[in-house]
Amino acid sequence: MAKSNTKQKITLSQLAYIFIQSQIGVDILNLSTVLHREAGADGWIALLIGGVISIFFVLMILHISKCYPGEGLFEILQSTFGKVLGALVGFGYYVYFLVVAIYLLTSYGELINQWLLPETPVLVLYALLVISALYTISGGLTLIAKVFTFFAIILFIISALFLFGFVDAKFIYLLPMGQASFSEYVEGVRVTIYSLSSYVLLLLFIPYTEGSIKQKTRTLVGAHLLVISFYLYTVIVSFAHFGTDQIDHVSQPVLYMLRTADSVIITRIDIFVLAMWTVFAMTAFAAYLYAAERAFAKVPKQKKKMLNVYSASVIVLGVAYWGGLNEENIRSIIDFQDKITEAFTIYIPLLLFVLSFMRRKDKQKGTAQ
Amino acid sequence: MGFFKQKNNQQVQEKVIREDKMPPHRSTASLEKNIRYIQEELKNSTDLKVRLLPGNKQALLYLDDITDPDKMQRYIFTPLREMDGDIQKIKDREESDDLNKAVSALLEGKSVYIIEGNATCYFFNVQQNVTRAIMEPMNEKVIKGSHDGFNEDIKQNINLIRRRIQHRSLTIKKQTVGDYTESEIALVYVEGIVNPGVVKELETRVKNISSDALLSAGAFSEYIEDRTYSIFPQFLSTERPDKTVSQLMEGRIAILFANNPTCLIAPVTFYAFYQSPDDYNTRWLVATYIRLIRLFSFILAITLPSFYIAVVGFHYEVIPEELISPVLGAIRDIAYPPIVEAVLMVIVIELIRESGIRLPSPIGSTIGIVGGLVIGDAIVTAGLVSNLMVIVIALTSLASFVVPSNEMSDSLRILTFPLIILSSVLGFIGITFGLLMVLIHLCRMESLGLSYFTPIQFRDLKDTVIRVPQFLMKRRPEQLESPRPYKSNELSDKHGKK
Repeated sequence: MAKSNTKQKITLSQLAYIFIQSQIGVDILNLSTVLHREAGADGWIALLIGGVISIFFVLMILHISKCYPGEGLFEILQSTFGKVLGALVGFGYYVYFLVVAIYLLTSYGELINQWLLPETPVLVLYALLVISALYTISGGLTLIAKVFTFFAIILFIISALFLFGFVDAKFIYLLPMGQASFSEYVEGVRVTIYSLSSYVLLLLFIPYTEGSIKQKTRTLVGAHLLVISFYLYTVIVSFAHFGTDQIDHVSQPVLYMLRTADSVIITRIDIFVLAMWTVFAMTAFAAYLYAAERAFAKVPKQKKKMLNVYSASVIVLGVAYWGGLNEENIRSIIDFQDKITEAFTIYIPLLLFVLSFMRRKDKQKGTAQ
Repeated sequence: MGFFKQKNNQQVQEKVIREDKMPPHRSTASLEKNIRYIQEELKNSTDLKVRLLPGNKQALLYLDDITDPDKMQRYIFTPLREMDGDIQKIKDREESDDLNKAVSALLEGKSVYIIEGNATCYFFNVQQNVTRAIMEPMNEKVIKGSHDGFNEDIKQNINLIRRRIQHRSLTIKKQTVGDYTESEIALVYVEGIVNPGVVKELETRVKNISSDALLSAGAFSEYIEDRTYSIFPQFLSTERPDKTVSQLMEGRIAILFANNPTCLIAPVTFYAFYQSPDDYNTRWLVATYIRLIRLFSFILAITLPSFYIAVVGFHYEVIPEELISPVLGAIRDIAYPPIVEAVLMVIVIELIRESGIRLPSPIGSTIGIVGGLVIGDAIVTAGLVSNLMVIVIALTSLASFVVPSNEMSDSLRILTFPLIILSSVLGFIGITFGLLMVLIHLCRMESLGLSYFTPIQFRDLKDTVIRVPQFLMKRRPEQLESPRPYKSNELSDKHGKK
C-alpha cells in the first residue's frame, strides 16, 4: 500500500507552498510585540533587513542542495562530516526539529487556552494537533505537499481579514525612523531570522522536487519574498494600529487589532482568524515532525519508520505537557531552543556551505584526472 | 475481516465451476442418454421442455421461460419444413458435441436440437428479450438536454453510447463476474484518450473479484475501490448516457452492468460529484453561478449545525449585538443542550426522508406535510427544540440535497455528526480540526490509483468550482494523465493560449 518515500516527487509550486506553510507558525502573531521590544518603532526596518539576510540563507541552502544532488539533509551531513560525526550532527538536528515541534505545540496550546478555550485541558489540543499532523505525515511527501498546497488559500483569506486593521491605523506611528541603535537592530534581525528559520527544512524537500535548480531558486526566492511581505504586512499593520505606547503591552497584537474591528455580519473576527490559524499551527508542526521522521529515512521498513514517528510524537506530547505545567518549564524549553537554534540554523548551514565549495573542488579534480 | 479468525475448524466447501469453464462432456449417439444427461444436469427443472418431433428420432430442448415461441417458429420450424426436415441445411446455427456446452446454451436462452444417431447438438438462438422502454432516469432529471437514460439491457446501453461516439477507438471489453450469476459487465473507454495504465489497473482488479454473485453496481464498486473504509463515494454512478459520454471523452472509464441501469465511472475526482449535465447546456456565467451555489451548499451542509452549536455553546461574542437577545430568547427555555436538539432534529429529518422514499408519491407528499409542518411546528411549541435549530437543520438538509449525486449527499449528511460532536466539545477549534481531518482524508484518497482530490489550482478551477466557456477548456483534467491532453487537434488556438 504505502509507496516508498524516496520515489515520491513534488512539483515546484508544491515546494513553494510547503516552504510558505512551514514558515508561518504561531510566532507571527506575537512577532510585532517582540520586534517592538527589541528595536522600538524601527522594528519593521529590522524585519526588512532580517528578511533580506534570510534570502541569502535560502540561496545558501539551494547551493548546498545543488552540490549534493539527490541527497536530503541527513545524507548530506553523513557525506560531509563522515559517518560518526555525521550521525551525531544528524541526531542533533533530530533533537532540534523535535524541540521546535514542542515549541510550536506549546505556543499553540497557550494561545488557544488564552483566547478561546480557557478550561479545555491543553493536552486535548496537543493531541488533536499531533493526530492531524501524524495523519498528514503518514501519507508521505506527496500528501504533505497536497495538504499544504490546499491550505495555502487560508493565507490569502487571513491577509484580507487583516485589512480591518487599517481602519484605525495611523501611519505616523511608524515614524520617526532610524532611532534604534545598532545593537537593537542586530537583536531585531536575529529575532527575524529565527522566526524565518525553517529554511533549514528546505534541504529535505529540494532533492525531491522536479525541475532544474534555476527554477527551484526562482520559486523559493519568490515564496520567501511572499512570506517576508506577509510578515512585514502584519507587523506594519499592528504597529500602525497600536502605536508605540500600546504595542509593548499587547501579547497578540494582530488578534487584538481584529477584536476591535467591526464588521457588519459578524463581530469578533479574531475568533475566526484564530480558528483558521490552527491550520498554520498544524502545517508548521507537521513540517517539523516530518523533518524529524526523515532522520530515520534509511530505515527500510515503512512500519518501523512510522513507529519512530509515533515514538517521536509521544516524546513531543510528553515534553509539551511538562512544559505546559508551569512557567518555569516553558521558559527552560524556550531557552534551550534559543540556544540550539543559532547553531542549527546559522552555523551548521554556513559550515555546510563552505564545505560544499571544497567538495566541488574535489569533484573537479576527480573529473580532471 | 480478521475479527473472528478460525484457524483450525475452517469450513470446507465445494468449488463451483463457472459455466464457461465446465470440462467438456462428449455427447453420445443415443438421443435418450443425451436427454437424460441434460435433464440431470439441470436438476430436472420443470421449465426444461423436451419436445420430441414426430418419429421420436429428433428432439428440441429449451427452457420454457426464457425462450420466445415466435422466434422458435420462425428460426427453427418454418425453415425445417422448407428444408424437408434436414436440420443441417438451416443457417444461423451453432453446433457442438459437448453436452456441457449444450447446458450452458440452454441457460443462455438457446434451444438445443438433438438427433438420434448423431453426436452433434445444434443450437439456435431463440432468446426472449425483456426490456423496459428508454426513459429519463428518475433521480437525474435535467431541464435542457437529452432525456434518454440507461435501462436494464446492456446491449441497449452500449447502443446508446455507440450512437454518441461514432469512432473506431471506442473500446468495449466485456467480462463476466460471479461464479453463479455470471453477470456480464462491460468496460467502455476511448482508446487514445484514456490512460492505459488505469485501464490495466481496473482490469486486474475486476479479474481478482471472486464471488458467487454480483448483485449490484454498489457491491461491485466495493470490490474494486481504493478505500473501502472511506465515507466518500469513489465511483460516480449515473444512468445518463450523455453524462457517461462526456466522461468518456475526458478520458475516464465507464463500467456498464447487465440487468442494471447504473453505470459507474472511474477514476473520478471529488468535484465530479458536483457537476451536472445542465452545467454544459446553459450559459457559462449561469453555470458558474450554480456551481458556486453548490459549493456554498457543500460548506453549509457539513458545517452549519456545528457552527451554530459552537456559537451558542462557546462563542456568543460572534453574534452581532442586535441579534443576541433574539437568539438567547429562543434557546433560553429549551431543556436540552444544543447538541441533543441538533441530533434530535437531524433524526426527525432522516425519518421523514426515509419513510417518504418507498411510498407512492401521493402518500409521500402527505408524509412531507405531516413531517415538515406538523412535527416541525409542534416540536417548537412543545419546547423540545428551538426555532433557530429547526431553521438550521432544515437549511442543512436542503443544502445536502443540492448535490447532484445521491451518494455524495448521503455521505455529507453523515459527516455532520462528527462535526456536531467536535463543535459541542471544542467550539470553533473542534470544527477546524474536524474539517482538517476531512480534507486530509480527501487528499489521501485515490481513485484507481489517481488522486481523488487535487488542491484547487488555477488551471483546475476552469471546470470545477466555476465553469468557463468551452473555448477556454482546452485541456483534459490533469488528474487523468491522459495521453491526449488537449481536447482538439488545433493546439495553437488564439483563444486558449496562456
